[in-house]
Amino acid sequence: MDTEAVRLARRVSEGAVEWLGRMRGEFALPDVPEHEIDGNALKSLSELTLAAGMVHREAVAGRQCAATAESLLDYAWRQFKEGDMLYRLQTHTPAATHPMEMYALFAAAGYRHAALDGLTAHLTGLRASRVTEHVPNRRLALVASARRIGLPVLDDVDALIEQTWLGGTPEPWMLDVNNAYGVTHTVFHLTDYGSDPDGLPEHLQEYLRLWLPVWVEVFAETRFWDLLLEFLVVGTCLKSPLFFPHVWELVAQAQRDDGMVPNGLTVPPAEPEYAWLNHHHPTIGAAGTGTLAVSRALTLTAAGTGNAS
Amino acid sequence: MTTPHQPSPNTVETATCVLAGALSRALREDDRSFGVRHSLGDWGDGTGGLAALRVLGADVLTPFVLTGRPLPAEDAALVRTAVRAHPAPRLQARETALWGTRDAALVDALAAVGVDGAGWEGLAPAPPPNGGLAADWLSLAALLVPLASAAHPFADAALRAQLAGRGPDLTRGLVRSLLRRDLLSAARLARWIVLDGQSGPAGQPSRLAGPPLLAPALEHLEVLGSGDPRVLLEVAVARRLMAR
Repeated sequence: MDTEAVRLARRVSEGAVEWLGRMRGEFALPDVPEHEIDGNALKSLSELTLAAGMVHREAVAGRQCAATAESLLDYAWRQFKEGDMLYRLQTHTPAATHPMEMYALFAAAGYRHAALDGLTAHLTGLRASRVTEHVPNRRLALVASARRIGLPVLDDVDALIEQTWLGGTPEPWMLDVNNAYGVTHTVFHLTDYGSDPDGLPEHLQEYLRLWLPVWVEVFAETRFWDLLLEFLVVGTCLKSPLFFPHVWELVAQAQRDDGMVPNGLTVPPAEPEYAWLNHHHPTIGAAGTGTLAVSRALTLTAAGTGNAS
Repeated sequence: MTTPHQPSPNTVETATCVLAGALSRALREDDRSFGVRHSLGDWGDGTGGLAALRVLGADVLTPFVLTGRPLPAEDAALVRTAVRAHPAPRLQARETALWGTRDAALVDALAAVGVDGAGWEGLAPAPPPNGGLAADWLSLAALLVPLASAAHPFADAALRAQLAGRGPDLTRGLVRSLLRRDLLSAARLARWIVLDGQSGPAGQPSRLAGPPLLAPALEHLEVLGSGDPRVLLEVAVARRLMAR
């Protein structure tokens, strides 16, 4: 990845983090009984946590951006009542997996809740947790969550991988948007968002090095930024990463002056609080993707192999 | 109003589909009698039918070249008439080079069935030697799609030699075209793959990335492209090339 593309990726991600920082109020959980909180509200706040956690983990952001990310992590943790709410949600519905998945994002960033640690250790040890009927890539999310919390992984991970779309190495022209998000999440969970590229089996590395460039080209042509940003993350999660510098130029052009990155499907309203609804996800994606791209490019440069495409 | 050199609206496309359908049937069924003029019927006398011959280029000769049928004299004469009626465009360098390769393939195909077409009025001049193919898969695919009528065992040895080792790139182009629902481009790239790209993931099982993709891709094109005679023609040629 060339210097200019690294600069663009940094600019995109820092602009996105600052927008998220200003828009944090939109991520606030509604004032309703906890078990009635809408799933989308929980999901948005979790994704904010994930992106801020990546900025925190990679530690390549400038001072202001790093401080904003830290404050967003604190903000999200407070929204979840410093873990108490997640604990109550998990006890209210023990078979649900989302409280543990959300807690794992905080645990990875050093936010711990002793009672949740005990509860999740108990639940993941049950036979029930081997047979949760999620889509296959979501099962891998549970494995990744257990790892982040520090719990033993009792699942047959190879068998779970084989059940995913990516694990089947299917005809690459059969990708559709739904399966594409399945592919990206399979890679995210197996590599813990790029922190462990070796977690992705060799044959899937090979498959993605062959076909990811095609998929990126197709979705760059349609300007579908939300999915495209996820594909860019996938590229940076590979052992020999793919950076797609020409796509970073397109993403940088698409980013609004205020830092928001539109989803590429719907036209964002001018007022950021209205635009938030449909465009916070790609902006979160941009924050995390840019951070990872910069971090991996710097690591490769330091290792003297910085010319990977 | 029509003039001798200007086909009426839609006639070229319709005539091309009629001819493409007849060609692919002739390629699938060895025992079927086939003639170009006969297949075009009334289209053969109009400028639309003659233009269709130019659109399909060397592919109008595939039932003769690839199955051993003799070329009827009236068909050779019809091709010559079409070339004269619709001479290769020469306005832009890229266009001239494209037609140079297409017409060289036509002359090669004629030679393969015993007709000397070199020097016919209307043919493009021989293409200049290309300075090496594009290094990236996307540009390579964009170059090869309009040259599909030159994807023949007897055509352009220099171009084909440069495709050695480009199997993965050709297959990326095929996959992209399929994802864009551009079945004709996909079928044309599949044809190049059959000819020169089977060293890649299309033709070879990869220990890592899965079984070969060419057979399911051709089947996919036949099933999804069943309503488009031009897609079916490309696939029929590809299957003939595979059987050789």
